[in-house]
Amino acid sequence: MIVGQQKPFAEIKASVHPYSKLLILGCGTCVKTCFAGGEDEVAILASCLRLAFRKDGQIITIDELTVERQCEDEFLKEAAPKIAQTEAVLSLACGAGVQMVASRYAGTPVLPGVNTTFIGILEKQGLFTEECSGCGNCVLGDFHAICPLSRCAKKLLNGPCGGSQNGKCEVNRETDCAWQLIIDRAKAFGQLDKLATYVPPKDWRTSYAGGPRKLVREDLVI
Amino acid sequence: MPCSSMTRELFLLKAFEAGASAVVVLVCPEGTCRYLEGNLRARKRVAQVKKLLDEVGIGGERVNLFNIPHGDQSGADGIIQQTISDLVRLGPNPAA
Repeated sequence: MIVGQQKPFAEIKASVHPYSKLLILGCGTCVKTCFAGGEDEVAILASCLRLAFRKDGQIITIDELTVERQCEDEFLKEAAPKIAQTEAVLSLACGAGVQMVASRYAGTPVLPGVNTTFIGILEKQGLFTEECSGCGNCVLGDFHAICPLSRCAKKLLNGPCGGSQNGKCEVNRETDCAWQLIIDRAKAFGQLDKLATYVPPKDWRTSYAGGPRKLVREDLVI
Repeated sequence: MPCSSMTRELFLLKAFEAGASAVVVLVCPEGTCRYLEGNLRARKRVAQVKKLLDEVGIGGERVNLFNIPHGDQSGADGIIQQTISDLVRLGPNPAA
């Protein structure tokens, strides 16, 4: 899932301060799963903002709505009536959702309420970890399903740096050394020799470093 | 509520929106929750609401959680009396 964290309250309050009518728009997919921007988080944030503005003697009308996904027109269009009636939208979606709202409703200011962080998993309750960098050319098959790009602090593709101690990364002692994990897994499958296979230098053109990416599926275009 | 674990952050915030100056959450003593973790979850959520109320500027000391055995009426009375007397110092809800 895309993992995000709600922005600090003070930052959000400052950003919505100029508006007297606000719609807090939640998203029911990734940000709901990481408790940053789902229906519950929308309600809590709305309540906090009302309390804060009332304490300051400022009047603000806050409306609340959560759609299944802000990154798809089919779901986002449900928000049209409420967006038409508001001065600004505070979107709790990931960066993609925020920009979709801005794109489809160009006449309404849209503000982000979540810091989008990484593509990751729920390792255990309350702990989300980064697993994927979205490089566009998955090499997990070469590394026994452990990604050195996203899980090695140095993004090494050639092998371990030699600085790890007791399986922990020398850059961050709380992080498992990705190469230790790769080697352990290769050993477990009896495929340690596979790591000696030559892997050509990575083609980074498919990653975000090559500029904004696009994917067209002609079989789906009507 | 059947269990204090059903206490959601929003319920506590809505109480303050409705004008409450203080909220107390009474939960079973630790280790006695029939659903095992209910009172622990309630504690975490109350802690979160305290933090939110501090950020809002109302003050997290206005919401508190107390462990109290079922049926302990005098204990509950004592907690409520203490809360009322704390309100003399805290004052009314500034967002009421």
